[in-house]
Amino acid sequence: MSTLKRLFFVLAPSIALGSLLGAYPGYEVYRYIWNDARFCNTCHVHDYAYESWRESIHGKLTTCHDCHHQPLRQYILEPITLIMHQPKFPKDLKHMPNVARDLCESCHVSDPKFTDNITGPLPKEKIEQVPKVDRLWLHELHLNKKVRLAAPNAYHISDTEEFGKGKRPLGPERAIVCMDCHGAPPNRAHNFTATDRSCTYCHEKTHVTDAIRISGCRNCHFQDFMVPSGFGKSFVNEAREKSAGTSQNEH
Amino acid sequence: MKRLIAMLESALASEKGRKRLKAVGFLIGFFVGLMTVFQVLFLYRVLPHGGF
Repeated sequence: MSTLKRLFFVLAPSIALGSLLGAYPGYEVYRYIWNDARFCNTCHVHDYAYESWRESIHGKLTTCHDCHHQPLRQYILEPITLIMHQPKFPKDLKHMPNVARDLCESCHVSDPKFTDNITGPLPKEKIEQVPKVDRLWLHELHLNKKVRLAAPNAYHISDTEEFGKGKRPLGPERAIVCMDCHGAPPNRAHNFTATDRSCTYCHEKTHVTDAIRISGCRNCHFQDFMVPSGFGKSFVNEAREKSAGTSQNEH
Repeated sequence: MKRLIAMLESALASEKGRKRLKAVGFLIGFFVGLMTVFQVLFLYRVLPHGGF
């Protein structure tokens, strides 16, 4: 028998056994890297974001990777960044964290394009019970509109000062994404509630009276985002018609 | 190459050498199995939404 044949018969069983036994640790490594937020938190510099995520409803139902996806090349670059120029503070980050619209839609619309990215503790059958925003009146309306604002992943995190002044860079026309209202500087650290600042990037000149400016957008419009589409239209239109009848100076 | 074959032949000739080869094979297999499962699952998650 030749040396190679003898070598094969000696090595093959041990390689096969090693592969079988190595598969389970491989799965555990994947599970730790993909599903366990502690892995992400070992390098990332946003402790406040981790804490706020953990305390939120998303912390109980999702993992970091359910929402935060990036191209494969970024995973290769990350260890280099970690060694060469590790960010010390959030302002050192290159981009604002971005969550693509289709990732939010996996749970929050009635007919999502993808659902296979959800790997967190939320069972698949429970996803059906998550409120579907495409059936809610003003959510539906906004999801079908376009804006000329720069995409949420197009600006630097140090731009937040300009955001605080109500300015936001312009860009090519595009569909509104979830992050436009539920992300970016007004919603730092996994605070997903839309703020009045989120509205004024587009609606700054919608209302002109001081009373409206003082009371804010959401005092009047919050419920319009939560009522079902059909009900919302009829209910709000009816209210507006009544209101228009009694006052010509609504806003 | 000749030297490598000679080394392998001498390892195969003795019981101790064969045991060492089996241990090396097991370690190679373990690493290959671990990395294959990890990479297949990881790429399955990353590529559909993140791309290259």
